[in-house]
Amino acid sequence: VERLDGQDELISRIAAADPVLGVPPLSQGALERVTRTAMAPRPTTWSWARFKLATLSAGVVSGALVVAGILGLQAAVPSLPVFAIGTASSGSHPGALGSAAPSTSSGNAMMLPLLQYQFTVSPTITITGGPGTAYQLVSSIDAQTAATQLASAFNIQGAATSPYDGDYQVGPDAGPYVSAWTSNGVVNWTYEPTASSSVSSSPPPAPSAPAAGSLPTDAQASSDALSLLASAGITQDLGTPTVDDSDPTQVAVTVSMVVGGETTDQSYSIDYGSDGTVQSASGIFATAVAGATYPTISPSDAISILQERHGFIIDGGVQPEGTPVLPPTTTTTIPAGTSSGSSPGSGPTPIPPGTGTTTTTTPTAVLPVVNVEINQANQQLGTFSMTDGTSWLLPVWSLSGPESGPTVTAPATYSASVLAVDPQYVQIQAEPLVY
Amino acid sequence: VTTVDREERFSRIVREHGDAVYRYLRRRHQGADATDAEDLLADVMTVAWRKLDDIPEGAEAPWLFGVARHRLSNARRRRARRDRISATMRPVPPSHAAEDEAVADLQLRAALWQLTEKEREVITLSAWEGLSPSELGVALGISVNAAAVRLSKAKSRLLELLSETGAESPAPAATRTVQ
Repeated sequence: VERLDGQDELISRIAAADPVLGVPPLSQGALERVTRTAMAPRPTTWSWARFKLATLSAGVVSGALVVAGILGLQAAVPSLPVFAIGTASSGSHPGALGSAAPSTSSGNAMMLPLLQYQFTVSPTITITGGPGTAYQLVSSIDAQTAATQLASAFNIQGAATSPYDGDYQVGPDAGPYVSAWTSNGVVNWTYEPTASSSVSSSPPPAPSAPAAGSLPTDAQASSDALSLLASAGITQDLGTPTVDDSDPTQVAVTVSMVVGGETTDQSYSIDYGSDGTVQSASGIFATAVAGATYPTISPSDAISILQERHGFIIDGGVQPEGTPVLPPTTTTTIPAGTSSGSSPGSGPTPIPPGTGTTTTTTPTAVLPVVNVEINQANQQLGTFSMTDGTSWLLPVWSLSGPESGPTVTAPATYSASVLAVDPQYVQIQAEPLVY
Repeated sequence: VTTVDREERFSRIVREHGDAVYRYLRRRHQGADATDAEDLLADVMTVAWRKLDDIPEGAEAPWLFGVARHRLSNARRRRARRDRISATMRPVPPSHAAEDEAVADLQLRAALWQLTEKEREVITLSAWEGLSPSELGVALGISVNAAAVRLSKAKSRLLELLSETGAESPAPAATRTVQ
């Protein structure tokens, strides 16, 4: 056995370059939240009997009722259960009650505010809030069955093994293999032809050269993707495939899950390489089961929330020379009984007007303003993870509009999603995420 | 073991190691924010709760890092898919790996990236998570000997790379063999 001496300086040097040196430790509340989440009873595998039960009692959203019981919540309106949201999935920020498409990496010690967004509502938006159905995402098969089923679709031989409890894999680690695991009550899966493509912790790749073989056409890739999903047993309603062929080495197909005629943020991805080989694929195994129908806020209200939550954008990366690190410029509504969050997307739950106090943080310097006139508002379904470990598709307003301002040098469209469920039926985890 | 005992042990594990696992995840999850990392931590701890009886006493941290490695691998694949979907909606700023953004020592960063993933993993587990060779064995699912050898080779390789790039490298490594 070799014992290492004399290399302490090297280790010290690496330790000094620790990316999270400036990140404060997890709060006691966060650790308690993790403990509570981990120990919460897992949703059972969906069964026909349970399906019938849920269908018969449309007003009973079992998961949310369990959460309400655990947290001792008092639903504002007894006829509808309250959603206790732990996180918003698919790139959303939980505190924001929605997903801001601009990619912000909050919590990074090196972040600094770069832009201030100012939203206005186009007069062309005349629709208002109405009823919106919530759907629970449930998996009718477990991860092991899913892995086996997918292996068949991808022509991978072998039995499902479980390197860790709940994770199942068919095929060798070196690839090709399929992997399936359950997260928040939903079975997720991926297909990897080789292990090298399974990890992204590598330096940014050099500009890629065109593949030796010919790539499938967009139409071929779309058709193949749909056939592949069908052969894997994914039979729910799917949207029209979106094809990205901007990378000369692959054709990337994305197919959205459609529920009740509405587009969701759940999707399936299949990437094709030369000669039509699948380079990677991923998705979920889940069915959307309708729960209760909730009143929703108007697009204007959603834009107000967007202004509160995303009135500024922060970004990681290198600090521009001479740019001061500023506190965020934002107005925060603080519900009674909760503390205020100061980082983007991490604030407390928006609540109906008049039930909280309002504070304003004054900036110490003026940030470049990006004006966005929201001229498109479509109700879609976004994924949210509840504190009881279940996942739900909830109505969201998908908002978009053109950007303008001194920093906008080319036509750009801002897109973001905001949870549309009336805030009185939503309870974000008690402690805002502040890091 | 009673239910109360299990709950107490689990709570202690989260209290004592939760932050370390959280940091492990944030260091390595490309573009991760605090929420992503906490989600993954909850995932890791869910496995820990269910497999509590399998967690070796005294080696809780490396066991958790092992689970985190696996979860991270899956999350990265999911993340790549998610980013691609976001990109179709709006141009986003370039995303950098957490290590890439925050490792201020550029030469060190460049050298780290030239290591194989296994080399980089073992050396950062040692430097950032402070794992001993025996703990590395648990975290990486390999023998103690294999972990020690891998760490040794990774360090030597890193020193070579730093030397090649003309960096102010630390003093040459001295390796001695013991039983």
